[in-house]
Amino acid sequence: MINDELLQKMYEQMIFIRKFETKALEGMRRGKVFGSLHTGVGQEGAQVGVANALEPDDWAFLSHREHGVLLCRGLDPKPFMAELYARKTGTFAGKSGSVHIADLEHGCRGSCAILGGTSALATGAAFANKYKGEKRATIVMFGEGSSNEGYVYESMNLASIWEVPLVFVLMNNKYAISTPIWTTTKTTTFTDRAKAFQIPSATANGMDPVEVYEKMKAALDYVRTGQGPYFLEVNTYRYNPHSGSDNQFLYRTQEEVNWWKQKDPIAAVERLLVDKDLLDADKIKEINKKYDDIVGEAVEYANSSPDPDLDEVFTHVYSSEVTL
Amino acid sequence: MREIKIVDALNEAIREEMLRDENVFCMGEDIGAKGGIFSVTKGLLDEFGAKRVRNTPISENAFTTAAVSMACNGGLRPIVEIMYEDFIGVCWDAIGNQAPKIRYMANGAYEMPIVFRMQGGAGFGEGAQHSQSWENLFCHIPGLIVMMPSTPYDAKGLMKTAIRSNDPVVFIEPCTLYNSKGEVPEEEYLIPIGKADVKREGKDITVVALGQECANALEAAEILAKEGISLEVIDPRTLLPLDFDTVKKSVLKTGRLMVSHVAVKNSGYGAEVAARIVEDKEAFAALKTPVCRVCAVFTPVPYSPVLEKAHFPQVEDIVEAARAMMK
Repeated sequence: MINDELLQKMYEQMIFIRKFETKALEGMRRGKVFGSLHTGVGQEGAQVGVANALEPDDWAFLSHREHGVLLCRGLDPKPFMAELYARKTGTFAGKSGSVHIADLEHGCRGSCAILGGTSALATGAAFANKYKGEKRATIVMFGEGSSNEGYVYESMNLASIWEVPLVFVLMNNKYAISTPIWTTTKTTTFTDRAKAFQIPSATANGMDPVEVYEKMKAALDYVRTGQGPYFLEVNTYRYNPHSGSDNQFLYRTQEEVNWWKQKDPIAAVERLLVDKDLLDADKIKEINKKYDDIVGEAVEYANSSPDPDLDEVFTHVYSSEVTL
Repeated sequence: MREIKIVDALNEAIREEMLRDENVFCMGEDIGAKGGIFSVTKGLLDEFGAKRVRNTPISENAFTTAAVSMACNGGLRPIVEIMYEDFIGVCWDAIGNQAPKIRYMANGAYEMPIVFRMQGGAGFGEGAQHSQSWENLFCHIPGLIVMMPSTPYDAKGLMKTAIRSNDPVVFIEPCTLYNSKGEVPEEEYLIPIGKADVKREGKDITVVALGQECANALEAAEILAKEGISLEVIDPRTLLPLDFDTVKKSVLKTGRLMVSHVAVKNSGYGAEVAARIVEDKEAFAALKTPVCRVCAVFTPVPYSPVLEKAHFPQVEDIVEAARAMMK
């Protein structure tokens, strides 16, 4: 069982993530954030459960919707927001944006456009760690939509035969942009697919961070034994549209979204903490203010930062050894 | 000096680099006990073991991208064999999308020490899906290095450079030249990235020739010399980045440019070389004739040996094109 301290930490992290992403979306509406921004509002319970189960030295390969994991693992919200704002002071100086952001210092090793490919990147990283005798575990978070890419199954097969310490974390939020999962597969649980590769598996309720944390811990314990990969399917739901700009009510109803909001992970943990006398109205207010301030400062930092210098367009195409 | 085949020169290069650095390792289909379908990795499994010479399942999509991550995240230096250049269709995310972009997107936070080896060209009746030359697709991608040797000396020196490079290298091995022999010193040497080699000096026509066509151009030069036509044959060796200075210098001398490759002419590498020359004021002013491309015709590669020969540029095609340029 997890202790009260961790429960309080996860509660605060969920509030932090939701406020950060909500502000980032606002930035997009104001024309400050460009391209696509995929928020995970509703999925914070799954994110904090996964992130807190990791050891600091473990590596996480993420999807485009896992800003929350980056925040949990320690990415400073100021350069993070500045990256979304495409500023010189951003994590990657305005060259990655939301989709390709990473944080090598805290073991977040990036995400990519072909979503199934992240599984291959994670498999390769886990292989390299094993090759070099490193003890760390690796995880990859990906969606049920990209789970219909052959890329994922080739990767699961490689991870299985190479017996690498890797946890496949499938975040099943039911929709691939607008396409519901029940129209693209007859699978009702993706753990069936893991069985095909002799990969042990479990499912977790993603609206319950405690359950996710415990199942993730067990998954990591397993892969650290060196017996090979593990597969965890986390059932969750995003409340927002796919990205900053689509109309979600073309493909699902407000009633459906409301039904999931009744299961909101922040509200659920809040009730739990209140029941345990670990939280009251004043404390809730205080925590909300704390993260309003932190996120507000990040927005201010991003907004007041300069654009990248124009000659940066040419830097880091190649290593320093190559001149064109 | 001893003479060895290209296939053995490549094998030596890989073996030497594996001895030099334990993070160098090979992966690909059938590269273990069989040593690869053209035997480039023969003997390496016995010497280095299965940890470092790793047979993969037929899963090019995932194992090429996994290798990208082994390089940029894991600090390894993978040499990935893609059995046929044609198979890059299922490796394109790794080669076109991941390896050349990750450093840039992360503002220089990663190195990308990976080599994608593949055989290109054709001539053995393998048909339309095992015979293609797609070097120009790679040359369109900022972030990649593209190499194609035509001699054993260049094959060895370039491969060693490729393995030590911190940039992703696409290394194309012309399959028709694997068994061609040439001088290779015993002692170690490297060939720098982006340095062309003048394979034969001449004064009338600059011929920039890739892979098999470099061998053909040298043969054509012998024939034409008897007619008083002198070819200067340049092998770029590194297609991306191109050693433009060497090509330009030659064109300033000859006033004529021919480009030859076994890839189809349309939008091929010859178009890039020609465009670079005509964009350059001095080189353009030096041209006495229009530039000329001697390349494969714009069809898939046919199976029949007779049709296959008609598809690919032959020595006679270079000879005739040169004669026409001198008229």
